[in-house]
Amino acid sequence: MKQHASYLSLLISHFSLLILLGCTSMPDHPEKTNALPPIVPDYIGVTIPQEIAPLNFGIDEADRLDVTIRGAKGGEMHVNGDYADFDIDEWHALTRQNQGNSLIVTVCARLDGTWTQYQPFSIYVSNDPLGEWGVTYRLIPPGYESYGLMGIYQRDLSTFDETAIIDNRDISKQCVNCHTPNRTDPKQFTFHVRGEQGATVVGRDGQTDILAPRNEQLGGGMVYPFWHPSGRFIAYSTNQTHQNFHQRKDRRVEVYDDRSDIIIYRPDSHEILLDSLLATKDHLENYPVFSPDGKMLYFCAAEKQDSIWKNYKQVKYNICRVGFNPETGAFVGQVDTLINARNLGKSANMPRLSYDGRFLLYTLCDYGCFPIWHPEADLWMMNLEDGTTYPLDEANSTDAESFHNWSMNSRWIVFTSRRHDGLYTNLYLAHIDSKGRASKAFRLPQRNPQEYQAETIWSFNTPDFASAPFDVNGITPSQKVLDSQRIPTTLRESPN
Amino acid sequence: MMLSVLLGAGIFLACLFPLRALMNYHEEHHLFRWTGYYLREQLTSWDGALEYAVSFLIQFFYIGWLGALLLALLTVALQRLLWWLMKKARLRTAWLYPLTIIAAALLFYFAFVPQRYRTDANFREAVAYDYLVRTHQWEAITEKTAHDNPATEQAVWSTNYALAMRGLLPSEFLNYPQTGPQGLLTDDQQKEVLAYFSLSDIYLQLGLINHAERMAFNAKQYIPNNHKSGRLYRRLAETNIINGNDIIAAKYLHFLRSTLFYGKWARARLAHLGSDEDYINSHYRLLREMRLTEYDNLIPPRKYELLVELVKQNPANKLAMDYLRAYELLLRSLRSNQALPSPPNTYQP
Repeated sequence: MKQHASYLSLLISHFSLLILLGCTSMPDHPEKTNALPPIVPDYIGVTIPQEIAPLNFGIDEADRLDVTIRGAKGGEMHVNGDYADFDIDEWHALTRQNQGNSLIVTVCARLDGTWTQYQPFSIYVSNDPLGEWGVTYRLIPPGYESYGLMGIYQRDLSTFDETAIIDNRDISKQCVNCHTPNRTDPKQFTFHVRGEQGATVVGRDGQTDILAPRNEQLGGGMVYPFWHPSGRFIAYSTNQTHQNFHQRKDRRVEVYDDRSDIIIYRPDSHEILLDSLLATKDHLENYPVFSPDGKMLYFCAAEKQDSIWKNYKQVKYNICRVGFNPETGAFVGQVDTLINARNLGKSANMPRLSYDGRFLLYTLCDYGCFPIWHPEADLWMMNLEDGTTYPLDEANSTDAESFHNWSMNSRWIVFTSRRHDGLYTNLYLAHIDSKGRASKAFRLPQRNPQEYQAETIWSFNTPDFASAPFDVNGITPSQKVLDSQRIPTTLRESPN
Repeated sequence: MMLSVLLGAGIFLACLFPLRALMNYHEEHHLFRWTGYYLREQLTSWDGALEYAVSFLIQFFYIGWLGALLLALLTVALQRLLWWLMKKARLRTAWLYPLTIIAAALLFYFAFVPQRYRTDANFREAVAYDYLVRTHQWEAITEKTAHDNPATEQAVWSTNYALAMRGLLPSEFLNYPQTGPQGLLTDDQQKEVLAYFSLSDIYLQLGLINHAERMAFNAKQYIPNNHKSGRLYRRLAETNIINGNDIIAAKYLHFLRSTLFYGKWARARLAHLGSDEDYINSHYRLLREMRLTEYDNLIPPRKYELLVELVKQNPANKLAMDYLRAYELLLRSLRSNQALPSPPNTYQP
């Protein structure tokens, strides 16, 4: 009897062990495969700044991951869970230790109860620091006429912390857009509020001006902004923008202008300078940006088309530039066409110069000036020293890449892309080397990226880097928007 | 106790019959999901926690009798709680008992029936027609219109849609109130958010898939307080399945997968997403064939032009043909359109 009890006990313990082994959350002699792990987001072979938040990832279909990261210069970290969720401090210690070298990532995944070990992959930690605190962007559902909730947000790039700069629930759900700092400085910014309490908001070193949303002499409002590096001027486009809808299955929305000009705003005098050189009747001028030295203004321009609703595909923008007098705010000389995209049958938009003045990043699409709805839209680069221009293949995808900005050290770009699903726009970052070549882009890290992607209803718009967080503890922009009288702007025309 | 039972029975019957459409209205303006993310999102504030509880209850309105039963039980529970509290406060006298019934009934009324529903007859009508359209009660729609002789545009295009779904549009629509072409397919811009829900249904059945998606997306954004809608997410999944945008469709299906009453449908769609097999046994295949593939016009086209294109592309699209004929009748432009196929035999102008 005693012996039977002993056998029974042995049997139970063996059975328990088998159950434990079967359900173990740690890989034990996993099957090895030559394939790379199908991680989401795809961080395989990307180049990152050492300050970036942990590149957490998951694998669809896997119910457990076991991940080990070893630094080529030393250090190691290990996580085991539903997804790879790295400790922020440990991650940063590892990236700091391995700056200028690789992190080797070994992933084991449990799929249908079986552990598989994939080929290790590398993440390169660049020698170039990010040099920025974070990014700012607008979050809005990607849609049609209606938008509901939206807001302008800031995100600490070394963590997952996101805070609202302005949430439209605080301003009667009006539209907010085009938040633009001056050279990533949060103390100098501008954005717009559209709606009954509309305004253009301009912040300068603690002073916030709430401008009237329209100038009647101008016949419109200020739209796409860019600060002069001195902070004394802001170039805006002024646009008559329309949105229409496709009936075909492969397109949804078309946004286009039937009129646009470029104006210069002086924050100190609330004066708008309108020069006929960039306010022509037969051209659409758009997306102004200043050169880093403040002596040139770059923009895009297209010939106007009759019946634009019919001929919208013929609207093709070139990238042009004109001299700028930083003392008077006047344009100098004649307009020069820098990139003749029309000759290629294409449309070039959203020029952005690296802050070291060496490169010009732009978006190239088939037509028009709103490439986020164009799957063919890609990022292109022009080397301003030798005039060559080329696609940023390593950063591009088969879907739309659109709005973009540079970090102050000219080594990183942030841009929007619809590569994940074709509709909900995400933010991506990419390293740009000294020759203007991009490394493989990586998606803005999220704490639980799969959950975020499944649950988010937002698209990211108009991202830019931020050298420091915007102070949201004082008088908030929303309070100013609600409480302030609108400051009228005056128009001064100067025929060129 | 008998009064409590009567209260419960009254609430149950009120919800099941005169207020059934209002239950539907609440249901399609909330979406409760059994996920940790949703819980965390809602529990960041007291308002969110309350929303969480309200949405939990409202999800059961998807099944009329279940929602009515829960509301009845909840109201009776409130009444019994009041009575118990009065006992604790030594206020429990027989003549006060009916007061607890009245108090509970009033609580139910003000919590469940929105102020707009109480005061705006047009809104009540919109809620009623929206429910009937959603639940495909075509005969009930025409009966209601014949009985009420309603004036709102939504009543008119809902009635025409109901006739069209029964194959009676060209032959009978002039027997019902009409407001011109607008009463067939109305403007894309609507003041009444609820209109987008039904318009999305109509456009989908006609084969105007992008229109159906746009209406659903607009409605989704206009829902107050960032609430979600199972009906609209389902529609967005459908339009993306039909248009072959499987990744986007999967996003909406994943969203619905964690809901009690849309989950089964979503999981079934997810299992077949991207496979032709799904279309063989599904009306999505038919709608895919109906949709516009070549025609594309950035100028907001008149609905008449869209119907002409739908029929040109697919003469078997009887719904579009019926709408087109009704349009022609209304426009008094019965001249023959050479580009169109011959009218069906049932059509007798």
